[in-house]
Amino acid sequence: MPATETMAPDDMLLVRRAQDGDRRAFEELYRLHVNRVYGLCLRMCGQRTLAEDLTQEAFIRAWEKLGSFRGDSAFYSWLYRLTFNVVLGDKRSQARRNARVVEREDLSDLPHTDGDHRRPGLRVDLETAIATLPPGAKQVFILHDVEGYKHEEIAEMTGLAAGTSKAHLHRARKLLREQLQ
Amino acid sequence: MNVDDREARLNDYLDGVLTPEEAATVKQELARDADYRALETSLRRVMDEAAALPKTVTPQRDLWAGIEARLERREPERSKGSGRYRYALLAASFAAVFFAGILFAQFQWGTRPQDTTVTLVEPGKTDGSELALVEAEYGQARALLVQALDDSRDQLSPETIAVVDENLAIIGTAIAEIKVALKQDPGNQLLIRSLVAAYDQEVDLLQQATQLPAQL
Repeated sequence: MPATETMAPDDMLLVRRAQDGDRRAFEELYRLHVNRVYGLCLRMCGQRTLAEDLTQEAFIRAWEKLGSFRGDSAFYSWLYRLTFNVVLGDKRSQARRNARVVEREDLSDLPHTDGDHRRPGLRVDLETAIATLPPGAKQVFILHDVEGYKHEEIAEMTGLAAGTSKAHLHRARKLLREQLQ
Repeated sequence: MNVDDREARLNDYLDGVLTPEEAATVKQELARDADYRALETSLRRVMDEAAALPKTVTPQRDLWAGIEARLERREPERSKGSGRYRYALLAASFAAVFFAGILFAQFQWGTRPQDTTVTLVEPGKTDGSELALVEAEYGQARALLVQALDDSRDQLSPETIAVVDENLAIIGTAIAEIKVALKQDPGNQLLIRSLVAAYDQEVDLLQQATQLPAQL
């Protein structure tokens, strides 16, 4: 969900209640968004238990910072950026991303989509290939080609220049293309 | 245009960020170059597959219980215990300010020439001597501040805690050494003032440390 999307009315009400300290409202927000947050964490770090830790940390950070959320963007975009920063800032995640470790068992959490009978196993292969990308190329590829963010938005999220983001993307596509041929 | 530039241009074409004129040039090139078309097919496949990847993944276990437990542990800092915490800080601050006032008066009084003969000495006595008063107030202020600091320790980084504890230990050692020296030389004004200054430093450090969480 790119950052330009607006906030769902349900999210808005829940966010307001949570900002007033309503833990149950925050739990509802968690239930609505956990799968997407976890998906990003798992794809970024490539390890199930670490992704679970990072997901929990992201929601705890979100609770702590909820007061600073003004509703200028969709709640999910705000949460997603926060999650992204949690993943990037986590030392264990950094180590794994730098080592480009991938365990197929962990990636098997990532579900297949229906209807792809042409190339069985390709999506898991693509996930495996994504997991082995260099850190910069991986984060930009996930944000741009998987999640649909624009280079300007990625630049804002990551602190990279838009041109650097584009260079990472092209490199990622090239490496993936070569791996999947 | 080298191979990398051509591929970058093709990427931009597929992302739809080229001008109409630039896009037309790429189309012409694709029409006449089979290798370029193969590259386009290969890139499109990666992009299409990536876009089709599922965005949501269900964790194998419910993570909320762990989140809630951690929020519970932090809750005293945010809401439930914040009143008690603020009260402790407020009380500690009042005590520290009161103690500082006594120190100030002590210092003012202690610097006047005629006061040098007053019974500031005999630190072992508690029968109304000025030092005993200072020590009593110091003890109260210190106890409140130490409690407030202990309540807020989990809000501070381990590095910060280490620095605070290290400095408190240094001041504590200095206080102990001055007291030993005062036992040997009870009337020594320099030692008395050093002791009062050390008390002041410790209270000041504790006060600063207890205010750190609110500044984070």
